[in-house]
Amino acid sequence: MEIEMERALDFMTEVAASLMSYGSPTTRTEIWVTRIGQKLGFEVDIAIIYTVIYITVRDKDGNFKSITKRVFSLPSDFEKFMRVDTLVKKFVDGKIQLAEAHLELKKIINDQSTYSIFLRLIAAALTCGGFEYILVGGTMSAIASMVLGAVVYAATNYVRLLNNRFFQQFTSGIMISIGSWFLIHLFKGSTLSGVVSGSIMLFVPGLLITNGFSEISQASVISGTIKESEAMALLIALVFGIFAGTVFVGGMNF
Amino acid sequence: MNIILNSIIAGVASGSFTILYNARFSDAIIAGGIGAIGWYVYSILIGYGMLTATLISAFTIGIIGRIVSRIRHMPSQPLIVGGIVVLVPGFMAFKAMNAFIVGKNTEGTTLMLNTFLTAAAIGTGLIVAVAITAIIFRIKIRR
Repeated sequence: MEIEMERALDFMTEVAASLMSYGSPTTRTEIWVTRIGQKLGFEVDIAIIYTVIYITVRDKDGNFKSITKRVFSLPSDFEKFMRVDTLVKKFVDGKIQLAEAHLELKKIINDQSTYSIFLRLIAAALTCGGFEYILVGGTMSAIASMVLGAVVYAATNYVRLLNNRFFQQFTSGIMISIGSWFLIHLFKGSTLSGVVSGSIMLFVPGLLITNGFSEISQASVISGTIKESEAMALLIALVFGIFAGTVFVGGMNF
Repeated sequence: MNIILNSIIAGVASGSFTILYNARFSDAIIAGGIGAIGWYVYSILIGYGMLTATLISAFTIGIIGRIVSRIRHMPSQPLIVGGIVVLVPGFMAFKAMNAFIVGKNTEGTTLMLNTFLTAAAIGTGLIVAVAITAIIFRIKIRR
């Protein structure tokens, strides 16, 4: 029985950790893990506080086991999120057994399938240009944003000198301010605020702010508040980076 | 005409943003479509105030995202995240922080408050949409 409990807890922890790191909302992850436990005949208590997962399983005789798991990176991967979600659904519906499901989960985690760098850069460029056009306006500024957004995205995602998000935000800010100053001279008719506004959209944690609020209103108060705090810290790093960049180019006025 | 063009561009930006999160191409296209509809709703309602427009637009995105995800038997998160990204107050948050740093504290406070209210409007719109669709789906299952 103890081995069964250990296997179940192992699977539940891996499901929770992978769902959280692939971009699942906290509430959804907690519901899925609880259902897995119920399917295996256990009573489950789960609390996810952003990067920390606490799970306790209890059998009918009152024996229990607890685990604490820390998730270190939250990169968000919707393709893997959907695959894990489908796998859990299949398991809860009784279409596959625990061992098979666990094996399949490991396969998903180790899978490296992703879009090519070229396609990602095009997507980054279209995102930056599109945002600039709808939020500020101006075709030349949108084109300049596309170029700068793609360059900074490539630099921060593929040339990783230090695996630190705050440093990444700070350096992105520096590159954006210096790059936009150069590009307004290259793309006649573009404006500094336009180019900066488009290029920063990939790095501004607007989604984190919105998700944080959603979680607070869905009773995940601590997780939501932590997300809000992280968003503020990332934003400050980005803005300080932009200001540091202005030192090189002699000041900017937004 | 301008609203339609901007909505199409918003759709392209939403779809592209979803690709950066490694969503499947077909989901990115749907997320782009939802983003375009969201921006269209936002643009035609902006006359009633930014918060009202954001709230109703987020609600629309939430409803469409949930229904499409139900039809496609998939979680709604990738579609909704892609759709709402055009509404999130990222640039406003940046301007607020920028104002604080250059010492324009009053402007910064106003902008930061607007940022949080916009985020709250998006969150509320989405939660109401999720709750309403959950009730509708439950009624349908019982029948």
